[in-house]
Amino acid sequence: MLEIKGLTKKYNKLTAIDNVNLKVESATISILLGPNGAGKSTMMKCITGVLRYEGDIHVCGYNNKSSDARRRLGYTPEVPALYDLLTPMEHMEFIAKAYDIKDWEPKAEALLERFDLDTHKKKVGNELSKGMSQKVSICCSLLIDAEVILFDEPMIGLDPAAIRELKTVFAELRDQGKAVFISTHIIDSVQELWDRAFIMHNGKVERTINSGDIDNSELENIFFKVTGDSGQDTLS
Amino acid sequence: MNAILYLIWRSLVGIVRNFKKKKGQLVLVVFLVVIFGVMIVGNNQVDDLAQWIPTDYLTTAYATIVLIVAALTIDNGIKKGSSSYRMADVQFVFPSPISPKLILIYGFLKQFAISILVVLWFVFQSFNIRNIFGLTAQGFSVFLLVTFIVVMYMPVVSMWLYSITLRKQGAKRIMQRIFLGLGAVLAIAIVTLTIIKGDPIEAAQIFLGGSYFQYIPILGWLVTLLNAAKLGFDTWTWISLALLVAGFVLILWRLLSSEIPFYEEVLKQTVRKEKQIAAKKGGMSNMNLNSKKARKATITYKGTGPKALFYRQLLEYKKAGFLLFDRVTVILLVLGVVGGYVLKNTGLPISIALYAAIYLNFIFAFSGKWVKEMNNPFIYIMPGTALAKLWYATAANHLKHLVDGTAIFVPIAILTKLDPVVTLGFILAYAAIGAIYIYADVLSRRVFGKLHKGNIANIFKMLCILFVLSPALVGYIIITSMFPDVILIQWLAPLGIVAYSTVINLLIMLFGKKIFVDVELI
Repeated sequence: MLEIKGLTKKYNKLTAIDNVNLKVESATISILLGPNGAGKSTMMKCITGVLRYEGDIHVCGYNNKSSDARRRLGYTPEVPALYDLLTPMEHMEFIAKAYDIKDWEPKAEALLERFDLDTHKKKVGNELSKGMSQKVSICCSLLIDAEVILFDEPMIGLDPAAIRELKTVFAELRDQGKAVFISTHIIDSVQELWDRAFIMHNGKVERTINSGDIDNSELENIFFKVTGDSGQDTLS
Repeated sequence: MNAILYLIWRSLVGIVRNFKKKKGQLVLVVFLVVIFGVMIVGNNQVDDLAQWIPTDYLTTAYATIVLIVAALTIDNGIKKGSSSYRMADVQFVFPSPISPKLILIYGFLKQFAISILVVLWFVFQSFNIRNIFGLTAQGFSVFLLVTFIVVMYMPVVSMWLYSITLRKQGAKRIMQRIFLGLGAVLAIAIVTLTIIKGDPIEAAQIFLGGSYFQYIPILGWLVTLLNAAKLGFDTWTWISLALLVAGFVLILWRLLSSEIPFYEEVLKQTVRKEKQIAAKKGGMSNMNLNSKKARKATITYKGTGPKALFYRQLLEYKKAGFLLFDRVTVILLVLGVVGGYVLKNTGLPISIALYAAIYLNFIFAFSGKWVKEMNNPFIYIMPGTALAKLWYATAANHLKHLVDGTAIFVPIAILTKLDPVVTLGFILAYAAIGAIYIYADVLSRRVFGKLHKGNIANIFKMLCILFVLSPALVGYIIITSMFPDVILIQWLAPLGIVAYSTVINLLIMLFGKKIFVDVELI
């Protein structure tokens, strides 16, 4: 579903991602863990194709920079960026048109209702709080019905109700056969949800763990073993 | 004081260090210093200037601009105060034990630096201003001095008025009404004179050029000082200068001795200022930061994929104003009317209007909606070709240029009885050259990446655009002046500019098309 081979990303002399290979399968929830500066967000941006890099990234067999791949890839960025003058529903309409999605309205309305945005439907981008902007951003990435969906630190700024709802969404997406790939530094937030975890440190994927191989509570200990002291400032 | 001095010193060191890291910026600065030097030397050596507009117009035009700027600054000042601080100052300096008076002085020092930058910007405009009004080098120096004083005065007066209104409940409303009343008196006087004289320019000249004007505090003194730019210094000039300096010191002293609880108020203004700076760094105009609530509006998307960008932008235009008619259009419409009267009264060639409009477009061109697209990930990750994304992200801007061009040239055409075909040619040329500004901006971002941001790169970009545009403009002058009476030539010449610009635009689009593919290129 999502396949990364030999991914290397350099910023001048700094190697942010160093020869990473990984696979995110359909009907799974994969998490990307790592301390601050490990290269998680950089990897997410490389997958979306907005950064230059060395290596190959394929989404459902298509090169990630092709239109075919883009139609199959959803993305919630770390920092939500909305259009100042558009309401949540207008954001959804724009995305529907940009991705040429038919009969989008019932789904858009359901998503907005699900994330409690229907009560703020008259507000425009610059009137929404950070949390609400994040919810709009999530709804936009869910609207396109992508096969692979990336979430970069999706819980940041969300209220507890929205976090709970988002966790349910993750599970539903997995049940629908989608590949969900979540970058986070809050292990608790994805506890008991994940199928596969990739632990990044200094730009490398140091460890890949399948949920069936360990007990859930062990993940945190493994994380610290891999990342050492630098992981201390990362966990919730 | 030590902490403030340390902060200023380390900030200066930081600027130098930044140049060490970003050598490209250093090259641009050196380039601009050289250009600046040429301007200064050239200014002192060139005295044979064209003088497009009588020097008398200078005082009227300047007084009008100062009046408008003062009205806006004072109105904003009474409502919110003024700030030359950054968010870091609010976070670190304000809660510290440093005396509020010192913090205020620190703010004025920052304002002083801003004033110097404004004056430097005018130095780059020296040949234009001197040519337009026929000023000598000494006259232009007086113009710069007046500008410096204006830029220094505005925030201090704003803050002072704000501090007065803070002391008494309701004072803010009274103060606003006083200024509104004064504005109304001024407007009624100019409108009455316009009706009597049948010419708004003459009316403004009579009103703002009257001898009684010099007795009005600050504004009158400024106008008197500005008169020295054309007439030389006399006793009144020196008195006005002395009064301006004394007035400034007095207001500053009053401000320093007042107890302004300015943390919260400055915070509001600083947040706004940060937005302006961010907008400027992003290459956008900050003209729309004042925009109030979005209007209710809808749009029917008549296309999918990258076309959705175009319709979404139209929707945003509808929400922010009346279709593509916004604040910039109103300003251009007013300038079109004023320009029409100036051309009618002075008998200047109509081509001057085209050059002035192209020059104005320079100022407004880099505020297009397409720039905002770069701050949003949607455009990068959505399906569609690079060229289609670029075209549809900029298409609304081309329509906007057509509307703005119409706003400028229709009043000019009516007042000067300009041929309709030539008028249409001018509007199209305005839009085509506006497109060059847009795509040159695109290319500049592609080539310079992050270096593109900031004033220095903007000036460099403008010089490059002028270089690219010059063949079309020079060609236009030669052809229209060789055949002034051949109407077909007069019709076709603006279209020649359109054709030239279209070719340039296509070339630049091809080179810059990947701007919405790779986020690292901006």
